[in-house]
Amino acid sequence: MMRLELEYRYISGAYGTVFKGKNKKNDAVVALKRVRIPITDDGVPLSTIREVSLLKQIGTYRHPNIVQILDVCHGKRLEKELIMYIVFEHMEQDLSSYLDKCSRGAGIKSTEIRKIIHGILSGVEFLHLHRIVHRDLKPQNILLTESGVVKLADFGLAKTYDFDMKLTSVVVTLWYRAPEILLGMPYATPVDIWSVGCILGELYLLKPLFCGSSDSDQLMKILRILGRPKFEDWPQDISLKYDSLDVGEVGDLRNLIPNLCENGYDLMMKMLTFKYSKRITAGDALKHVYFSEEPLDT
Amino acid sequence: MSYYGSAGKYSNKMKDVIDVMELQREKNRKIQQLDYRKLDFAGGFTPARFIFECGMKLQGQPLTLATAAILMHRFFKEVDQSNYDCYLIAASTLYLAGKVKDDPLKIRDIINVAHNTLHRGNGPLEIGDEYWNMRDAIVQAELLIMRVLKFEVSITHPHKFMLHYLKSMEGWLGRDQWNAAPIARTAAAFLQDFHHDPSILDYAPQHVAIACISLALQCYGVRLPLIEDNDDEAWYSVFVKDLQKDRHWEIMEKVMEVYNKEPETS
Ligand SMILES: Nc1ncnc2c1ncn2[C@@H]1O[C@H](COP(=O)(O)OP(=O)(O)OP(=O)(O)O)[C@@H](O)[C@H]1O
Ligand SMILES: [Mg+2]
Repeated sequence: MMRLELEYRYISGAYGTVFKGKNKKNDAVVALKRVRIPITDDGVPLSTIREVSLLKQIGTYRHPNIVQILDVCHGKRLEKELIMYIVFEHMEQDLSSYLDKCSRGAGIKSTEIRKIIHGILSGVEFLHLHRIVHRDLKPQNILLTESGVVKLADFGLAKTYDFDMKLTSVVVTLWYRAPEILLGMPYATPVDIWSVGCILGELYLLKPLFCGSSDSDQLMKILRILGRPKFEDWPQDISLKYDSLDVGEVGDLRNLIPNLCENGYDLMMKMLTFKYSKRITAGDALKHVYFSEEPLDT
Repeated sequence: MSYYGSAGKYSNKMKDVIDVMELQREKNRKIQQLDYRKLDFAGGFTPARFIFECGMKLQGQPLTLATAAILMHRFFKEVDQSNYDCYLIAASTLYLAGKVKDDPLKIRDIINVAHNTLHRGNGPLEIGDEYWNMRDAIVQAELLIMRVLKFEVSITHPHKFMLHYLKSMEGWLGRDQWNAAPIARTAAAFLQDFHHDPSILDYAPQHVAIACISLALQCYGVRLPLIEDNDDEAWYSVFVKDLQKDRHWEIMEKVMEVYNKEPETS
């Protein structure tokens, strides 16, 4: 087992706490995520067992756009929970802090944006191939290496740490949530594509695309920019009726993001398609001309 | 060294295979009432036996039982076996395997079946101190197993490869010839029985699947059309490219050895 030295408290997330540490054996810097595993009368929950082993299995593929899991260690055993440390390769920064820096500076080159989105989509495609829905893609959960390689983090354990396990002080952001989640409908892999669409916009805009403060406010913010969906694309079996939707004046995404090129706009609209069954898949998005066109720097 | 080089050795092997078939049949004929308390660990054979007996009584899925056996063997590979009660570990791997395979087995049923299998003829365990102690012990052991295995509890089984290979072979042979001999059933029985031996951990699941099918083919003397089994090309080379002939024989031997480890009925 790795001997680890905790250097300092790093960043605290909603469900766990991430530390920076050092592997005493080889001096490698690692990130440690502390998670609490609830233990009931029936032992370790089935979902935890399946997810942790999935996480380990996923790690064996060493996908370049998935943060590498190095080890899983156990910590303290309390009466009703087990503390567990998941050891990851340490990454330079997350996309959220990168965006902060860039918004204060000269923005992000479009070639760089293309590279980032391509990396995110490759990671998402890989997860989806393994039937994993990330469900919480957002800049804080996307990590960058020093050389700018993108890796997805914070997936897999999501189910286990659902709402009851949340530390109350931290608000979970809704800004990257797909309409089907906001409407409380069953959802699958397309929710991740929606999130990538939001992130694509944000990289050009340098601020989040849709900043709602509640489920319904989030939905309104989306519709006010994208417009009311077609009647046939509105779900039948929900309480919110199509006719009651008062969207008001609709903004234009093109005016909002003037520096977005034609192909980028096309891809973004395919990712921000309201009806999930019509939304582009990760595999198809990766084949979009946006990624093969002559790079234009804007 | 190739076993195929010597005809004498080859026919000896065949005799072994036929003996093994006899053993397999015999095993199914008499329901053995092993007294587990009198048996020793036997390299993991005994707790594996216990897993399959309890697991079948619990009507667990075959893959759940296979998972439990593999987890048990992996656990004992990491620890000093004499420090643990191998039946407690066996019962706990069954419980854990049910969760891993999404085929949950009730802890209460596991406790009852394990208790009755260890203490034959006794009635169900009363809900009392003994029950609660056992329940607590299983929950603790489950966590211990998870830790010792470093949370790596999902397994790639030979079964799915075997199924795929058998399907193709059925196509080559044609339905009539395929149905003439119970190849699939026999191969599956060999595979299940091989889970009694920790050496199953040493081989790729694809290779284990091939070796069990080979044994079944040989038992019934089935030859595959268009495939000359010669020194250069093995029948299975369409399925796996990286299985050397002597390795193939080695696995087959290991499978056969399982039948020599069968404990005497008391
Ligand atoms: N491997 C890593 N290297 C460097 N920093 C990391 C690493 N993993 C996570 N972080 C930092 O820690 C933060 C929280 O990590 P993570 O998202 O995995 O935990 P979380 O508790 O689930 O957070 P939340 O639920 O709020 O998204 C990330 O936003 C990132 O800034
Ligand atoms: Mg996070």
